[in-house]
Amino acid sequence: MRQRNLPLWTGVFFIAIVAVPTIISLFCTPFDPVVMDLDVRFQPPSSSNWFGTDQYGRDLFSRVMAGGQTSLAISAAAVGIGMAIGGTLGGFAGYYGKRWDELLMRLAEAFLAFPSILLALLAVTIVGPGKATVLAAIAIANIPVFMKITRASFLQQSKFEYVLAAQALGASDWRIMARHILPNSLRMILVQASASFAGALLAEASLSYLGLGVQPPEPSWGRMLREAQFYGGRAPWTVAFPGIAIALVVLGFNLVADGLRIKGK
Amino acid sequence: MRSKTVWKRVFEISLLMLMLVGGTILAAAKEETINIAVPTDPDSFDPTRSVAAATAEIAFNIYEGLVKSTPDGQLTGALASHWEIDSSQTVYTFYLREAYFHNGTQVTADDVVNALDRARDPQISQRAGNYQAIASVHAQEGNQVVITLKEPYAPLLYELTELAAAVYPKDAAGLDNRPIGTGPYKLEEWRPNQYIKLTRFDRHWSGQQPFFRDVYFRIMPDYNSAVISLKTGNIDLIPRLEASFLHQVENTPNLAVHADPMNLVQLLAINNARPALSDLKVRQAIAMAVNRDQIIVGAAWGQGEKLYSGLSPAMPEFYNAGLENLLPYDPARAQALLNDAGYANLELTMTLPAPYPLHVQTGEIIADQLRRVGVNVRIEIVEWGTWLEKVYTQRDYDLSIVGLTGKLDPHTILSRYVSTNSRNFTNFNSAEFDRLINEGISASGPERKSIYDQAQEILAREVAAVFIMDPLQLNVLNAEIKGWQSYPIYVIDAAALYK
Repeated sequence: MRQRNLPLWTGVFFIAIVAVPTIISLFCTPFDPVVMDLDVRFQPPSSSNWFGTDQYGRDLFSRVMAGGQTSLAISAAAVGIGMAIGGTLGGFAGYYGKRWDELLMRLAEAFLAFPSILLALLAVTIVGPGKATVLAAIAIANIPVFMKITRASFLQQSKFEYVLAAQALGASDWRIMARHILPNSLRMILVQASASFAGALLAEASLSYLGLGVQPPEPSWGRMLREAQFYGGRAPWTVAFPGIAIALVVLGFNLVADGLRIKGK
Repeated sequence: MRSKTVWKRVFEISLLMLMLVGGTILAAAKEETINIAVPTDPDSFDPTRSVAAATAEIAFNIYEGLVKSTPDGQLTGALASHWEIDSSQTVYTFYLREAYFHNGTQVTADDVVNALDRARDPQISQRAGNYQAIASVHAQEGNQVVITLKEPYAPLLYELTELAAAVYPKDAAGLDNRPIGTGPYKLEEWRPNQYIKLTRFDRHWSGQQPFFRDVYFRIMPDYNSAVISLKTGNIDLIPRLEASFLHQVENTPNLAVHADPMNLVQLLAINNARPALSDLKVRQAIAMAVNRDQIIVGAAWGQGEKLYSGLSPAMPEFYNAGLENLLPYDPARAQALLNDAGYANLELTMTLPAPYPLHVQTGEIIADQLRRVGVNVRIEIVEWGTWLEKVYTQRDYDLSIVGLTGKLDPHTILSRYVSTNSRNFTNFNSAEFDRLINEGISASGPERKSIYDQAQEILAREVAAVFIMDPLQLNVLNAEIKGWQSYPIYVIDAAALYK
C-alpha cells in the first residue's frame, strides 16, 4: 500500500508559500522594496499594500518578497558550501579511516564545540558586517556537521559487500566513493541539509536582527524584524509578516527533513 | 481546637509584621537609589583621554573644574569661589575654596595647576587644542591659581567647565576607570556593559548632600528594554529617549516627559578630504538633496527643529537664522551640480553609529534621498567604539551622521571646523573661516556676533557638513522623581534629583 508522506508534503507546501513569491520578486515586485515614501508610513494592510507599509512608507509585501531573496540565497549558499566541503572531507575520513580520520574528526569536534553564533560574531568583528561575512560564518559552522554525518555513513557503507565486490573488481577509490557509496549515503546527507537549511535561515535572521548581517536598505527578514521592534506596538504588521515568513520556511524545512527520514525507513 | 486557631492567628500576625518590616527596609533601600538608563559605556574617565559625550554626562557628577555651568547656561564657581580678570583680559585669578577630593585629600592650587597643564599638553590631552590660548598656569599664595593667556580669549571660562579641564589629585593614576574628583558623587563600581554605580560624596565643598545615596547608570543599548524597565519601576529615568519611543511613554500616569531643547547639532558629516567630496559642487549637491522636513518626520517623529547652521537656535545670541535659502532642498539642481562636476554616478559609504537609532534612521532616509539624485550610498552600521575610532579619530569615512553636543560658547562649537583643529573630523578647510574664528576669540559685543554670523555662513555655503536638526530632548522620568534640570550642555545632574 502506498502511504502518503504527510510531513514531507506539508513542508514542501509551507516552503512553496514563501519561495514562490520570492522567486517572482526576482522579476518584479508590486512596489520598489527600497524606495521610501514618508507620506504613507505605517499604513495598515490594505488592497494596495497587502502587508501594509513600514516606518519609511515602503511596501511591506514587496519587502517580504525581496527579503526572501537575501535570506534564502544566503542560507542555500551557506548550506551548499558546508555540504560540499564537509561532505568531501567526511567522505575521505570515513572511507580511508586511520590517521586522516582521527585528525579530521578531532578538528570537526573542536569546531562543533565552538558555538556557531560566537564564531559568526568573531567573523563580523574581524571582517565587518555584510552578506559575505554572514554567508562564510554559517558555511563554516556547517562544515563539521556534514563531515560527521558523511563520515559515519561512508564508514558503515565501506564495510558492505557491494563495496568489497567493487574493490575486488579493481574499481578505483574515487569511483567507489562517487558511484557506489555516495548514492547510498545521499538520503542521510539530504536530511541533514534540510535541517541545516532551517538552522542557517534562523542564523541569518539572528545575525541580521543583531545588525551584523545584511545592511540597510536591502531587505532581509531578520533586518526587518530588527527595525520593526521599535514600532511593534504601533504597527504590529511590521513585525508579523517577516516573522511569519521565517516561521513558515523554518517549519517547512524541518518537516521536509522529518519526511525524508521517514521515507528512508 | 480553639488554641490551634489562636496559634494560627499569632503566626499570621507575626508573618504580616515580618513582611511589613522587611518591606520598609527594602523600601528604604530603594528610596535612596536611583536608576538611570544610558545607551553606552563611557570611553574613559580620564579627563585627558575622554572624547565621548556619554562619559561627560556621567562625569559631570564626579568631576568639577574651577567653574561650572548652571542649568540656564550661565557660569558659576565650582572649585573657585570667585575670580578676577585684569584689564588686559589676559590674566585670570581664581580664588579656590576649601574642597576635598574623593580620596580625602584637600584640593590645592598645585592640583589645579597640574590638571590644567596636562589638559593643554597636546602630548597628553585629546582636547589640548581648546586650551592653546593659555600661556601659563601657576599657583599663588593664598590658594590662588593664575591663568595667563597669550592674548585675550573670550571662551576661556566656558572651556574651563569642560570635562577636559576637570581637577584631580596631581599624584592620581589610573583615572581611566578609577576617577578621583570633587563632585557630589564618587565612582563606587563600574561593570562594563552593565552599570556604573556612583555613591554620594560626604565631603562636597557645598556642604549639601544629594538626595539619592546611590546612582546607577545602567547600560541599556536597547531602548525597548529601557522603556519596559521604566514602566516596571526598575529604571527611574531615561535621559534623551529616542523620539520613536515617545508613544510608548506618553499619557502614562506614573511617568513624566520633559521635552527640552537639546542644543545638539545633528549633522551629515562629509569627509571634505575624500577626492569626490573635496569638490565643492558635490558637497553642495549633497546639501541640496537633503530634505530636512522628511527626516524630522521619518526619524524624529516631528520632535526636532530644522537647522541650517553649525550652531543650534538654542543659542539665540549667536545663531545665524538667515541661512535657510542658501542651499535649499532642490533635487533637480543637486543632480545638475553632480553632472556638472562629473560625478553623475557617485558611490559613497555612510558609516552610522549603531547605538543611536535617531542617527541610523536619519542616515537611512538621507541615503534614500541621495539615491534619488544619483548618488549610490552603501550603509555600514558600526558599534560606537568602532565609530569613534574610524570616523572621529582616523577620519576614514565618506559620510556619517552624528550629533555634536551643545557647548556654552560659540567658539567651542565652531572651532572644530578650523582646518588645524584636532576635532575637525570633517577635514573642512577654509582659510577665511580659520581667520574669522581666530578674530572671534578676542572680539566682543555686536562685533563678535557678526564674526560668528559670517563663520556660520561659510560653513553652510562651503558645506563642511549638512546641518540637519536640533532634536528635542525627551527626558522621561518616574513621576515621583523631582528636580530634573535641563542644561544646554550634555550632562545629567543627578545631585539635583529628589523624591
